[in-house]
Formats: sequence, C-alpha cells, structure tokens
Amino acid sequence: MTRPYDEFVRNAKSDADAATPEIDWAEVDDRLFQRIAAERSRGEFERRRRIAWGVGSLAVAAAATGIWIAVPANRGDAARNPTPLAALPASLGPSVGTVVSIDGAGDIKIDHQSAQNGSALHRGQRLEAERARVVFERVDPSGIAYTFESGTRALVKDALPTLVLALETGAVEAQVQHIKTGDAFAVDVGQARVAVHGTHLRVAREGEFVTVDLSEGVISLGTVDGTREVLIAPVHAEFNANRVRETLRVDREQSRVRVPVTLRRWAELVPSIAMGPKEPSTPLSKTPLALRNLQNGALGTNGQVSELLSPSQSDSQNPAAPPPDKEPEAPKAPVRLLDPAAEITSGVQRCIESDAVVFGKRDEENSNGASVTTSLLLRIGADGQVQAARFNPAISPAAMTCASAVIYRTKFATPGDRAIQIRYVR
Amino acid sequence: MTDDDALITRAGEGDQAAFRALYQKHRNDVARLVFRMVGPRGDLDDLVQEVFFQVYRSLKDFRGQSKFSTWLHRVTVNVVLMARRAQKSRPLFSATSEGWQDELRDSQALPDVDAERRERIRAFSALLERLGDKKRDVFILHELEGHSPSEIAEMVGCPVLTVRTRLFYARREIEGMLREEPSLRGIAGTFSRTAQGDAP
Repeated sequence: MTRPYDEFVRNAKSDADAATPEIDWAEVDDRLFQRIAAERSRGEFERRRRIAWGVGSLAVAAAATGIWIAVPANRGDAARNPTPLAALPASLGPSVGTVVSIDGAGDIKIDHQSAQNGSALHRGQRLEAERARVVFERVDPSGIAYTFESGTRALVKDALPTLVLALETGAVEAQVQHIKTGDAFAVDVGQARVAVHGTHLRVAREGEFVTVDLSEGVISLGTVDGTREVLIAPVHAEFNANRVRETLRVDREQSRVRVPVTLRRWAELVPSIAMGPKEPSTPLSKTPLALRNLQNGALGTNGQVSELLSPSQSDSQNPAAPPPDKEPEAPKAPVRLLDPAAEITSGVQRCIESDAVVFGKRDEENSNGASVTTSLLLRIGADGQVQAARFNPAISPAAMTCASAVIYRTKFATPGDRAIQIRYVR
Repeated sequence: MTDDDALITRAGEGDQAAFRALYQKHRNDVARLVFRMVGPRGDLDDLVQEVFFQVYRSLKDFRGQSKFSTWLHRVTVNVVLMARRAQKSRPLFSATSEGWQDELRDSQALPDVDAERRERIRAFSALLERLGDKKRDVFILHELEGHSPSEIAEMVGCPVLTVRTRLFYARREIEGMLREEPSLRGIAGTFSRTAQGDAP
C-alpha cells in the first residue's frame, strides 16, 4: 500500500475520533430507558392479556364439555401473584418485527387483538389491517422493514432464518437488506412463493390474482416447493396464485413498476412529548399500478379492487382517475374519519387504560373506579402538524410515551395553540 | 467468562442494571461508528438510541457465536443501513464539513496543527463523499474500525470475497483521488512529507 494512503488512513482515524460530536447522553439515556420501560410495560401487558385469554378460553372449553374449574378461594392473592410464565398456555414463536407506525383511522389486529406502536408480531400469528396501514421492522438478524396496506390479511408462517408471510389478501411491501446466504424474506401467495435476498418489493393479492413490483434488487419467483425464476429489478410481474408457472407474465418496463414507498422515518423513532417541530408524517402509498390496471378493467373486476384502498388513499393517490359523479369538488384537506381532537383524546385514553392494566392500578381500584383528568396543551404549526405537546398535570411516563405516538401523527386543519381536556374514567 | 459475558447474560435475563452497564460501556463506540457511517447529521442521537433499543430487544437471542462487539456493530450497521435506505439520501459528507470542523474537540492543539487537522478532515470528507455507499462502509469498518473482512461480511450480509473486492476498489479509488484530485494533492503531499520527516 502506498505511503500517502496509509498516512491518510492513519490521520483520518485519529481525526474522525476527534471530530465525533459530543452527544447529550443524559437526554439519550432518558429517551432510551423511557422506551425500554414502555416496551417492558407492553410486554407485561401482553403477557397478562394472554393469561386472561388462555384462562378464558380454557373456561369456555371446560364449560362446553361439562368440566368444572376450581376457582381459588383467595382471588386477591392470585391477582397479586400472577401465574408463573412457565405455566402459560400460550407459546409464541420468535418475533418477526415490531410495529413502528400505524397510519389511518382503522385498526391493526394481531391474533384478533388491537396492536399499537411497539407491539410485536410472532411466528404463527395472523395480522389484519383494517382501514389502516402498519409498518413493522426487524433489525436482527437482518434488517427488514415491511408494511401491510389497508385491507390486508396475512399469517406469519416462519420467522428464522427466513421471515415467511402467507398473504391471504391485500398487499405487503418490504425493504430487505442483503443477507449472505438463503432468503431474508418470502411471501407465499397460494402455491407461489416470492423469495427475497435483499431488495425493495411489493406483493399484492386480490383473490387469486397476484402482482409483484420489484423496484430494486433480486427476487426468485415460483412455487413454494419447486423451482423458481430469478427476476432482477425493475420488474412488474402478474400471475395466478395457484398456477404461477402457467400464468406468469413479466414486464420489465420501468414505467410499469410501482413507485416504492419509504417505509421508515427515523425522526419519528422516539416522538418525545417535549420534542420540537416534527416533520409531516409519511404519506400513504401511491395507488398500486397493478390495481390501477385492474380498476381500468385490464384485469380483474373493478369493485373488488377498490375495496382494498381506504377513502383517503383513493382520493389522494390516484389523481389521474376521473372524479366521482357525486362529489365534483373534492375537499383539499386530508380526509379523516375522526376529528383530530377526538382522535387524540381517544388515543390518550387508550394509553392510560393500557398503563392502568400494566401496573395493576385498575385491579387495586377496581371496586371504586379510577379517574385521570389532565389538560393536553398543543402547539400546532402552519402545516397543521403538532409541534409541541405538554400534559398538565403530567401522566405516567409510559402512558406519555404511548400518547406521543398518537399526538404527533395527528394533523389539524388550523394552526395555533390548543388545549384538549382529557378525562379517563374507569 | 469476561465482564461483558456476565453482563450480557444478566441483561438477557432482564437485568436492567446490567443492560445499563453494557450500554454505558459501549455507547461511545457505537456513536463513533454511527458518526463515521452517516457523517454530521442531526439524528445521530436518534440512531444511537435506536441501536441500543434494538440491542435491548435482541439481546436474549445473542448466542455468543461471535464477539459481542462484532454483534453490536452488526446491529449498528443494520440500523444505519435501514435509516439510510429509508431516508433515500446519501450521508452528508459535505465538502466543507462544517459539522465536523465545528465539533473538533482538541482544544489543546496549536492553531497551525488545528488548521492542518481541519484541512485533513475536509479532505477525508470529500473522499468519502465520492466513494459509493458500499465501498465507503467496508472502508470505514475495516480501515477505521479494524474489523476483519469476515466480520464485515457478517455485518453487512454479503460474502467475504465481496467485502474484499469492495475494499480493494475503495483503496484504489482513494489512492487515485489522492494522486489526481488537485484539491487533495496537497494533503497527500503533506502526508508524504510528514511520513518522510518521521522516518529514521
């Protein structure tokens, strides 16, 4: 190696050490351990819910078969000393990702339970996205960010080494980092498998009709057990889920490939309640090209496909589509199903509710009820985004962390300061 | 069993104090690597925090097949790569590198030494700016962080041969830039003179 190069590297190393900026560790510590506390709380909440779910299911099953269950005489002790985890009936597989954002007015359900930011998805669980879009991330062992669009149902078939999703309906889009061997990510649709080494792709299913849009990287496409064809981006592919080899049509024209969405905004990682201005949230995905083709009558039927998109998606993401007959003057503001203040109130109440369950506050106060009253003071920017928020009086850190996710993703029609009275009564 | 091993075991079992000790022990290394990979941008704190949040989540799955530092750097690299892809922008290794220069902390350095260092940093930033993402990553991980090609292969998820190839081309490009770029020629000359002066 040349001397200038060696000298350059040696100096670069020491210079870069000196140039590394000072970090406010106290602030990082606070935010990190607040997130961890919230994560632990959620985990505990999930475990308790599963206990309740398991016991409830057992009770129903027992009642149906005529079996009696002996209820412990001292129920108070039982509540204070929950069942050891080893005795839990539910056995979850490895986690395949954690919810990092939810967009839309609907609900995201994992195994029929509502999910929120921080909820984990495990092998064997079923996800349903109803009028909302959810983004998951898994960092280890490989980096994967994937989103389920509104109207999607999918089952996690496997977690390691390959994350395998069985797509029943709807669409999943993923950014997958390359791994050394094998597939990092795969989507099964009927008898077909779309396997991914490292790429950005979207797989959409409507009935038996499947579209794949590959904007970068390489995938293999074929049957679950058989041989597969390697496709290199850019590619738009269409096929029947159960007859992939016979029906596969591949279009390599760039303009046919749907524009990928950015799945992650790192500025929103920790929406601290005291943080400054936030950027607007990520817009929802554009209308998939294949679905537009379907809507234009090229393939499939019109009515079924339009049901995949939420009203806001349909309005904002297909500007080329002819305007609807009944509403020639479509509103410019984003369509939301709830008033922003009501949405925030509802979200914060849910956070307080979760916090109460997690820390057993509700158990202790069950007989007499419990209430929390607070004022939420908001500063709303010219773009309608919440720039700062403060609770007076403060609520618990875990509830605040949870609430901030709701607050900062909400958009208002007008700027200025606003106070929202929030009351939680149980 | 090293101190780290004991801390990892305890932290993996949910011991908060052990996790905090691990975090405090390694956070500067992680911050340095993140900074080297992303350059002077505003979300350094967020990225470092995200790394340790992912470490917290994944620690129970750490089996000790590799060194903890290697595993930690792999998580760091994954977080950075995901952030980079998400933001769809190259790191801000700007030609002026004001962010780097402003953060110089060596207050003991003499003015001329400091100026020379600033110039070297500017040159270094300019070089990194011109390297492709993948070559820049392996260059940083190997030359600056001291990881072996096999460790880097594990971190970035590609074959060792690919890492070596990227490293080869990164070196070649840097050498070429040092030779040919007028704005860098002086720096290379400075290095050469320094090296000659240091030689016995």
